[in-house]
Amino acid sequence: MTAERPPVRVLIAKPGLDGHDRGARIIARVLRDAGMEVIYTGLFQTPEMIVRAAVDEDVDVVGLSILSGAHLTLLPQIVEGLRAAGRDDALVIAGGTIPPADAPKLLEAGIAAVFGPGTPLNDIVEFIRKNAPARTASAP
Amino acid sequence: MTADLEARFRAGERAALARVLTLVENDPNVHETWIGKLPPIGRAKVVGITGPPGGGKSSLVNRMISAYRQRDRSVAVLAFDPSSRLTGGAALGDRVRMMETWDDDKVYVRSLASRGRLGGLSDAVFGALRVLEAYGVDVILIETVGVGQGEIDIADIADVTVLIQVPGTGDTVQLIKAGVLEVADILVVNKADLPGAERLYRDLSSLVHEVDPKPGAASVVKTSAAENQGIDELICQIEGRIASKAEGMKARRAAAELRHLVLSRAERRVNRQLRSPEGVALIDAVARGELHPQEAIERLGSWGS
Repeated sequence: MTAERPPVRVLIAKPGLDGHDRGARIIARVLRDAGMEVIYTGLFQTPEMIVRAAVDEDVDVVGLSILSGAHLTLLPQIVEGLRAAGRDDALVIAGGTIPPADAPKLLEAGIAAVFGPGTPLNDIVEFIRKNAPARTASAP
Repeated sequence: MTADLEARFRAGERAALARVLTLVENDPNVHETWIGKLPPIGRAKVVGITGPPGGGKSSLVNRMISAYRQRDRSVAVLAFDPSSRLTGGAALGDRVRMMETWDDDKVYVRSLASRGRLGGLSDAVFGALRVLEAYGVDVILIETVGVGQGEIDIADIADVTVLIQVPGTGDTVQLIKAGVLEVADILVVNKADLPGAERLYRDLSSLVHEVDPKPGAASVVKTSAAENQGIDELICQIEGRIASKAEGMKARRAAAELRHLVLSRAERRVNRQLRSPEGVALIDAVARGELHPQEAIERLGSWGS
């Protein structure tokens, strides 16, 4: 049987106290239009809530959008939580207002990529396509 | 890895449950593994919740989860949303409204895309039910958008089918037209705090008795998910229906699964044929008016699989 590659599953989450989620919604729509299945969590999520959603939904990719400035605190907690839940295979990426100087620290903490303001949307799509963990259509 | 996954699943690990459901969704050969040997639903109860987009299904499900937890039942939700026909992508947003019990280990919520199947449910739903039963879930809530004939599917799968209506979305003639009254066990007037709810409740009640005055006709319940009203009444009605309807559901569900499998296999074959050079030529001929569609499908049939 010819099995096509199943859609990439992506969780788009908003950790912390950001007041709006326009960026997250735009990304969610772009990824959907790129043929992915996108689960959106809504605003005001704690790292624990995001880890729980990523585990339950068995997503391939966790996209974190953060504008509050708390990225150095919250994002590593999410990576750590995924590891503890047995999901260190998930690709974790971040976007929002993250100063370029902080990006290396986040990459070191296990975030696969940091997309700052003005990143062409297609770069994000391509990054996910290239780096999302391979889900073969056959049972392991 | 299969043996490892099975051990982790049997030990109740959430990530393993989630991964098994992914295999059920993605792997056409999953039935050849241990997952295929899981028995059909026996103990767990399945409640289908359907209604128009914006009807408040997810908010109501959120309240129902809490109500079942108060009754000490474990709950799983399968929340379906449509996939785009064009790209195959999907935006799955039901989870946003189901956060009240996010840290409860006895609650599991999974968002699923319909992946091109009619009726709003994907082929994975049948396998998912067996997996959730094996995991030890007591109540499975299936949420799906229903805007027409699609609801029929959920009624073949769920022990009880709940159809949500809200005030201000057209009149009850819509319900007669779509023929959904026959498949709904319980009609819910949600957003009962809004104007027009009382009128809708009265209209639905009288409609139910006109259409189907037998005992066993659909019951009508008023709820407000926003104000957490009417939820206990709804759960009581659901329990009552389950008690009176349990017989025959297994066979009905098995028949629905077989029909689903046959149809999805046929659909894949037809799509493959229509994309082939011969298929494209046939489509062109029909579009130009040189070939009657009836003749075209007969030629399609003669290609075999």
